[in-house]
Amino acid sequence: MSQSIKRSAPASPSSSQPLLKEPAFPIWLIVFLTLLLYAGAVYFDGHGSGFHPQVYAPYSSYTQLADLQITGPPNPLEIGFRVYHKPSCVSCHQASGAGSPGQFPPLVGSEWVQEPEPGRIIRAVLNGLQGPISVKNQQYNNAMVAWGGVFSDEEIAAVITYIRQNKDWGNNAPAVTADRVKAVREKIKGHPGPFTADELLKIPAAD
Amino acid sequence: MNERSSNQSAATAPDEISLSCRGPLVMLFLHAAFWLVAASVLALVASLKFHSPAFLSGCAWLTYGRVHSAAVNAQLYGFAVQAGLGVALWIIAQTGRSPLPHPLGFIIGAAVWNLGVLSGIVAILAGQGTGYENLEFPFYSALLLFLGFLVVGSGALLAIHSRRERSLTPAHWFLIAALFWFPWILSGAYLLLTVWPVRGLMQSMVVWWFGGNLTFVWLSLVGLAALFHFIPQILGRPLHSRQMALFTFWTLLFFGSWTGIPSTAPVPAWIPALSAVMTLLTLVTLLSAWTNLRQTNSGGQPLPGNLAPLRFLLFGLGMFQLAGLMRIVLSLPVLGHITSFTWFAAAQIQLQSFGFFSMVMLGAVYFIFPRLMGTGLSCTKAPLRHFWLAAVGCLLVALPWALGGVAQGLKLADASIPFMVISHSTLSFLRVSSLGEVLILVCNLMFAMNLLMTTTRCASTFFLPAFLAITAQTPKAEVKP
Repeated sequence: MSQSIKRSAPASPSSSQPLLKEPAFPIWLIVFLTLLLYAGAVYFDGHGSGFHPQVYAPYSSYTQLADLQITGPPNPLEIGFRVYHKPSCVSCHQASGAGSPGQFPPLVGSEWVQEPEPGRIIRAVLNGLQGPISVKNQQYNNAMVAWGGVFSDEEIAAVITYIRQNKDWGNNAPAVTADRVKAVREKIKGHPGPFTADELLKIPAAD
Repeated sequence: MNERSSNQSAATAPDEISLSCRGPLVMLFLHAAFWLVAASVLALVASLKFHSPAFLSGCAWLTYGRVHSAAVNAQLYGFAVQAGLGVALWIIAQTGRSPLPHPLGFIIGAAVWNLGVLSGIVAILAGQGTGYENLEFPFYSALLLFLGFLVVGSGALLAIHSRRERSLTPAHWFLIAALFWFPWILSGAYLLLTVWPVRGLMQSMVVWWFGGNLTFVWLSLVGLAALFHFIPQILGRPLHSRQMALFTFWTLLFFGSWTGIPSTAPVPAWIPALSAVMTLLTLVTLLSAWTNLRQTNSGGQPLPGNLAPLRFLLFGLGMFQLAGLMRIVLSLPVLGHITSFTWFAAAQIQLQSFGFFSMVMLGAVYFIFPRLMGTGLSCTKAPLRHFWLAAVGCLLVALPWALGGVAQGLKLADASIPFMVISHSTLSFLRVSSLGEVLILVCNLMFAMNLLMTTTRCASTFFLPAFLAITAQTPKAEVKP
């Protein structure tokens, strides 16, 4: 059997694939491939970001990203807004800063918030506040959480600045620096627990 | 033996070449048929769970995440690669006019391969899957697959080396590439995922690279080899153009191997952009294969008795085009942003893996099997019935998924529609596709039964007389004292 195959093989090479005259290669296929290559190159040029490792979709070039980068020092009002809504202050004083009548005092137009020197409000935020307090001629008696252990000096300075300078609330008092918060934190190190309104009023405004 | 006479009457005795193929190919095809049935059972269970979540939900082994992965892997490694190897061995032996060397070696390789698939499927169902798409088999199963493929693949290369007909056909180019491609991508993927694992998103990159290379490049290599070999042979005329086949070959390898990264992948933008461009360029691969095979087929009549295999092959060719076009739609940013993360992607995989590859393999096996066994198929009318059922089943699964996927994608882009409402709206499409899965299961059972019965009949024709002769009582006169 194998002998007969050997003999017959050259006479009829692979009857499954008889050899015939090869037709001309269709030129439209080459033209089409060229057009696709061109379109692909144009697309890659527009979306490939020049192989830059930091550019992800939907951006298509590094200059686009560079334009979106934040430049200069961070805006304390933006950081303060984020700290305020962490949620921390927003839980009681509300996003509107109006508090709840009879429960939590407002920050909008509050005389405590808008004191020219921020010593008292920094103490209230760092250690919390307890007992009766009068805000805008209304009496409140509740407890405020101490945030000194939760947020950094920068964050506390930013959130107090955000509260004091919030134009939507009509507040306009000088900004608070992180150095000031740090200094106050040092001074009240020995103070146990939250302050009361009376205690705060006894502290000199500039302290 | 004359090829034409073998076509006219499949029941003639097989020649030396077919006889050398018999053991390995029966082994590969019967196991492939078994895994095909197993895969369709698992796929049906997975499909039913979408609209009947309580179905078989009490058993951890049959939860969706495991059953779906097991179905996909059984289909890919149990059926697709295995049947592809069998068809490749047949084409290599027939076009080379030379018997397969060391048939036992192929049988051992196939046994190791099936051990790998079995251990992998059990591991997935037991919850030991790796969690990488298309690579869910644990490392030890993958090692068995690699070794099994190495044995069968190197045997195939030996068979090519020792061929008597020296000229190579287009099918050879595709098959030789496929024989090298699979061990490369499998070992590459497992080395980078389990042996020296890469970090973070690089793992997804490896998985996407492997998926593109297996489901697009490898399946297309073997499927196109079968189309380029069997369509001319069944029509009894030459392939229209060798040069175009060469063009198909190189564009498939060059463009196809860069594809597979989704347009929504969270990686630097140039990677999905490059992948999208390369996927778009595979359009020329699709077009050249289509033109070449249409020209070969146009006006041709199949040699008697080969209508069913031809139908399978031509349907596969059509689905190769459709699945390829859907793949381009998925990769393009504008259209891909609607269709990604929807059922459209599942429909594309179904068409690629079942509509194209499985249908081509089924047609090839229906062509090969009678010649291999030297007897007709146990049920000669079954292939044509199988074809219609499988074609309807495949479209019933894929079309609702594709349409439902587009509808789902358009709704997902609208922020005012709640997610759960969108999920519920796909249910009617999923119910129809479950019906398609039932049809596919029925056809796969028909296929497996037909192969099994043909083999049993052939085995009984050969072995029963031999068995009777061996076990017959020796006449007393011949017993030496």
